[in-house]
Amino acid sequence: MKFLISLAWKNLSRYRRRTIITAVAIAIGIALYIWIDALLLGAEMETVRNLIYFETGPARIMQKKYWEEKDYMLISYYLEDPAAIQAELKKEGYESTQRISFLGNIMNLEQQEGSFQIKMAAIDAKTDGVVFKLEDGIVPENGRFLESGEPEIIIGKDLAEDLDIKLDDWVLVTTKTAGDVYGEAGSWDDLELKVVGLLSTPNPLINKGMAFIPLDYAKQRLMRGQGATDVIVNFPAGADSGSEVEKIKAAIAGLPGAGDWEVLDYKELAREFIMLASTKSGGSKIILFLFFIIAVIGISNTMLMAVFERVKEIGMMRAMGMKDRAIVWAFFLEATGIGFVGSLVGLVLGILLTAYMVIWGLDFSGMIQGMGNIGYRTAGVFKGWWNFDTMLSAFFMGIIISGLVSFIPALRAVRMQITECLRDK
Amino acid sequence: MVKADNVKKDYTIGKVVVHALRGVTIDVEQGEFMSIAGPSGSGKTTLLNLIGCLDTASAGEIYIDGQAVSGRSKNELALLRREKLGFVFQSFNLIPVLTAIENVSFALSLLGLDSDTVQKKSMQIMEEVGLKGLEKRFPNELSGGQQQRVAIARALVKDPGIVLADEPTANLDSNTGKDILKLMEELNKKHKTTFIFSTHDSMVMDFAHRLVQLHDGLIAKNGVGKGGGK
Repeated sequence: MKFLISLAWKNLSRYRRRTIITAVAIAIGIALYIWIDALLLGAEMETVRNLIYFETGPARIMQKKYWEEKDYMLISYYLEDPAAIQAELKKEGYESTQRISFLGNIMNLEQQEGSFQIKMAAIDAKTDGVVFKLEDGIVPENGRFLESGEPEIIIGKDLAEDLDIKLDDWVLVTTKTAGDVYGEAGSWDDLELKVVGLLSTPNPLINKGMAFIPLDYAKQRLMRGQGATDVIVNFPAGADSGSEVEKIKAAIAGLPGAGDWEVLDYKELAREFIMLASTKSGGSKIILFLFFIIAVIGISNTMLMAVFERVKEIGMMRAMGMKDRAIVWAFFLEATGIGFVGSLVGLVLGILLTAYMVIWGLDFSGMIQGMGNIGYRTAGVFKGWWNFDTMLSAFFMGIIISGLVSFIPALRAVRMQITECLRDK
Repeated sequence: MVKADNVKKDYTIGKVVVHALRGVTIDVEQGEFMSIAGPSGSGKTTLLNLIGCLDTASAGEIYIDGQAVSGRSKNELALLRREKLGFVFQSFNLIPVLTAIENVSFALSLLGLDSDTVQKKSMQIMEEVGLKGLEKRFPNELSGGQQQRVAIARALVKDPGIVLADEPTANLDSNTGKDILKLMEELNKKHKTTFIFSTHDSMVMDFAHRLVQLHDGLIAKNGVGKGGGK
């Protein structure tokens, strides 16, 4: 075995240029895979974070009917006493806030032309920060956060641009109120609101298509002073959302009407994105497959050439009594050696690329703005995420596959007659 | 030592069956210095390959040290070649990535000997073939004659009973070829190793102590050679 390893090493050194070219092909394949995986995973993790911090919150309590018709965001299906729910949750140590989430048509009041239907939320300016990070999305030059009781609005920066709205402008929001009876749709109402802040968050969906108004003002105008469509509950990042949901359900189970409520974690609330992410994960596996194909073709070609160039040498070794198995091993070790060098270089390159992605990221903002909603909730700078499982598996797969592909030409060589090998030109 | 008993070998090339050997019977004793001669296509290399267990006979039997080789597995034949046979090829067939001494050691490492023994025996044979001081050179740093000396050292280092040499001087100029043949003759005397050559070179035939001439796959002449290049 020592001799075989030594022979394999010497052959790698002897065909240095070919070894380097093949190792580089493997290295590029592995580095690109690690990099793309880090990029996709980073985008996914960032999206989950931005979903939780800006859109869904960790978990939500709402009326089942509201959830069933979630596309319409009907505020007539509201929680009658959200404060009671919050109080029960508080007893169990959960921080929460309440919102009224609804659809509204927004228009520039001055220009009075063109309107967009957008998602809106009436938020409790005092408690919203315990769950969401909206307030971080307003820098001083873009105004301020909402104050209670005022007819004011903060809107996404990109939406403001589309509507040609600036700070201190007035907008008109048309929406439907809740009816007099629970579940009954009310009448259309126009809200004239002053723009006090422009949101620039890491979540492009917020920037592009959402607006927020004070909860107490919305309650007066839309809900006859009471109720909210959602209670959004916070729980620690990294906690198992499924078991947290169960705990939340247990905490509010004793409240009147609890049977009509739905408690959903962010995974359920953003199921479309989760499905999209899993599809993209499948896509990254296809990319992995393609990169490995590149590496496999590279090393197969190298080993084929190595065998064809050394048929006579193989014949001599067999004539001298070297067993076929040992010859196959010799080629296996040689290919594994190339695979090891290539995979190691690929791993180091992949780590460096991932480090760049984790620290600085890549700015796709120009591209994303033009593309609209691509599923990912990242505002433009895609940051990477360390995935050591992928790194290790890519490294070892590079070595293993390199070794395995050597079997075909090596077996072919030892199937030849020794005399045929010795006659080879 | 070696016996070929009515050995036949047929090759099929396309739809044509070529009878390379048509029934060759020959006995080779230990320590013989023998040449198998004949024109191209006479079957000399085929016979050498059969004796060297590199190929199998279509009919008849080859015996090495009294034991038949037919019916043995590939691994058994490999072990037989490893222990009892040495080969010298026309184009030397050294491993280009190994130094001269490593090429020689290769034959011993297949036998699983410890590294000290391998080193000692390899150095000794290198000296015997006149390559002392050139042990660390790679094949491409050696002349044709020196490369063939390495090949002879590689064949002899494991003390095989038989060394088979297929046209050993064909790639050498006549002076170098003569030197190589003298060397093999000396080693034959010293080690009592049986040497069997295949050749169509008259110089090689002149060195042989016994000359077997083949014609169209049959022995045309089996007699005493001149020996010593006379």
